[in-house]
Amino acid sequence: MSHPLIGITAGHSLNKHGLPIIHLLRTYVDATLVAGGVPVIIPSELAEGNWKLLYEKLDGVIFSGGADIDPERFGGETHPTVSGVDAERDKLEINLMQHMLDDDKPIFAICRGMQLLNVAAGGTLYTDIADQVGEEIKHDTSYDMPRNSLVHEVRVEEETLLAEILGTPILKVNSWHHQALKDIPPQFKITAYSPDGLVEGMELPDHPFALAVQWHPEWIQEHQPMRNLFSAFVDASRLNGKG
Amino acid sequence: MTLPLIGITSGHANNQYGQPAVQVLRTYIREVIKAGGIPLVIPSETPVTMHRELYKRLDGIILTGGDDIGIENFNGEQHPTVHKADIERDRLEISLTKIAAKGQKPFLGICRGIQTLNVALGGDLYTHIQDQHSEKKKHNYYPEYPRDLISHPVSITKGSKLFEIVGEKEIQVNSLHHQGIKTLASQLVATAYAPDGIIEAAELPEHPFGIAVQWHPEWIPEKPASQAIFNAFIAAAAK
Repeated sequence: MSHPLIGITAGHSLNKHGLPIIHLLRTYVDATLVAGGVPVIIPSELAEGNWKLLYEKLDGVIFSGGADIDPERFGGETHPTVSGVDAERDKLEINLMQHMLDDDKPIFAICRGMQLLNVAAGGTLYTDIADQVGEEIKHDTSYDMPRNSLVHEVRVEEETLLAEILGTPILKVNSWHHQALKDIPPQFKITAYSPDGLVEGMELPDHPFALAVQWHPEWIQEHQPMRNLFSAFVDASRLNGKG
Repeated sequence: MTLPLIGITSGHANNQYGQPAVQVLRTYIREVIKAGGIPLVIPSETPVTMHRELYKRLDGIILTGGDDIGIENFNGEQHPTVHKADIERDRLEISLTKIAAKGQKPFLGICRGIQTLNVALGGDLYTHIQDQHSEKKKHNYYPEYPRDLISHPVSITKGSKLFEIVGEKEIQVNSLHHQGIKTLASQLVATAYAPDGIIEAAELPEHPFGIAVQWHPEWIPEKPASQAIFNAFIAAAAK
């Protein structure tokens, strides 16, 4: 199998005529293709029996970025800035993630995806960084700036899968989130921090490949370390498919 | 019988921030699930070199509705109403259709999908029916009409697979297209017509399930014919 099949989770939106659609930014698709994976999009509408069958056919899953997870899912503090909660998507992604944590197919979790990984494993989130942590670093970059703006530094912990893939201890990243990890279940290894101490990456040492980052590598593929993230994930998925 | 995996082709649009996104209407997803299939969405970016790998993993394909096919694909007539082509989508759908037409896995074309099927197999299209077809009838009850507006009857040819599935000689359908089949590809058989003679359905006679319709059954899902089409498609994909 030269091209592993990569499922990518997606959100909902309305099209220009106001009709309900499934929606995924194509940067995820493009980055997966460049890394050699065949991307397909997983609709959140799938009931458990159905997504389990689909999952059997996949070699790896990307949990994509998106709107906020319902704070009720983690006993989180409600906040006026919480937006875009999609109950169908929360349900599919949390159940799928929990299923995958007990399995060995590669997981790559990006932004909301990392928050989801934490919540699915029993962790919690700050529901608004500016209010609950502070504004030393602005994590929700203004929407009039390009998505590939490198706005803050990240320090990568040594002897982690993330460090091995990125090949650099300090790097600058883009940042498009107003929520962040708060309590983290002990099975996770934190792999990266921003200068204000927020978690920017984590992984699951007891899993063949469960890697999460808070920034958006799919928007900064002009940087080799960011391409490395996708190729490491697709390579792991290819290996998994063969096994 | 296991639940079949159904690949659904998709389009592109920009989101509210002007960023390029893959999108597909949820109506297709809902109907596939209702009929007992497992839908997944195929992004058009997937290059031709990956199509066989992708096809191998699927049990069936829906060629969905969408904007116009680029006229360079069928030497079509320029017309001011022709939408800007999505080259990636044209390439993916035409390539996958050719693979599916040669293969044995079921595929269902809807609206743009019947046009894709015809173009992929060498047929061509009216690029604006109301200007180019002899009867100049309106077929584009779109976008300012409800998607489930019943616009005209279609007569279904007895002896066709579509007739076997629907079980009626005439049904009422919605109509959301301004282009249509002009010359039918030689491998295809027309199986339904609108009163003005426009081809409303076509199929590959030697294929286990290679069927396409010009209307949108997913927007009139309560109609028995719509349910029959999705159910037959999913049942064939499950074999």
